[in-house]
Amino acid sequence: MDEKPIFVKIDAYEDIRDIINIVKKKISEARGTLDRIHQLCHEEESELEAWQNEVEDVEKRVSTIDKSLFA
Amino acid sequence: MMALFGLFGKKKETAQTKEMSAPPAPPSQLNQEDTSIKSPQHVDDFGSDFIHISDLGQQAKHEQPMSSSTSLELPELEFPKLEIPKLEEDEIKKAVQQEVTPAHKKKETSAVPEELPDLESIHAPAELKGGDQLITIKEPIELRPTPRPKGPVFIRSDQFKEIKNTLNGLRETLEKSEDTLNNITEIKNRGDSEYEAWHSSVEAIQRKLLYIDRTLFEG
Repeated sequence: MDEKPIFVKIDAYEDIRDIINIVKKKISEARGTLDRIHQLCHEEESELEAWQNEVEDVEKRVSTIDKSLFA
Repeated sequence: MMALFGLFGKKKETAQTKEMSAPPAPPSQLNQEDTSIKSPQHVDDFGSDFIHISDLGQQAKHEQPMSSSTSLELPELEFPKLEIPKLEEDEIKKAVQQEVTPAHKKKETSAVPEELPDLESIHAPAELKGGDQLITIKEPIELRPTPRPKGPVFIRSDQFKEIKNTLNGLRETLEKSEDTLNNITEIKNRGDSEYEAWHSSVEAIQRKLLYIDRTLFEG
């Protein structure tokens, strides 16, 4: 006995296709947003490195003053 | 009526005298008499020949037909007869049709070729030759490779199950991504609070350094 394929009727085929197109657009927008956030993260990281260097510089200067005054 | 003509006669005389020479200044006594001019209610004292000012208008109305030969009559102006150009019915219909169908729509309809180009070539800005227009497509038109089906659409049951499983997995992924977004928001808020603490500590350090500077070098 041959197995015949079973089909399922889809009523809102056009609506589903439009929704999938919209979802594709949203995914593309989300990818763009993610790229911009990555860029911001890189900028933040470079600023944090600069801040770390400044803190180290300040620490050195303060230790110099400390040695000069109280050692 | 005679008094009315006399009145106009006096005006003519005064006009002539004004042209010839200026009248002498009135004496001061006359001025005093002028101030004591009686009000119109005493007009009747001058007799029946005197005409009240309010009656002048009515008399003038009655006398206008009689004085038609005088210079007061307005000349009859001959206005040019304006004729509205009569359009024939065909011309009116043509004009109405031109208003109903604008020119650009006409061009669009006339610019449609008999054979449609390939769908891929639609993305590029199309130029209509023939001296009509340059149409630039700003946003790419969403191409639908499959034509719109007419009537009910059926899908095989195994594909339907696959799509259903995929949608369930997609729902789970979206829930996870929402959790991830919440975690990122929380991290960002903690970072903001850390940055605020850092800012306040930097300000405190600046104040203390200023105090040391004043104490050491300005005192």
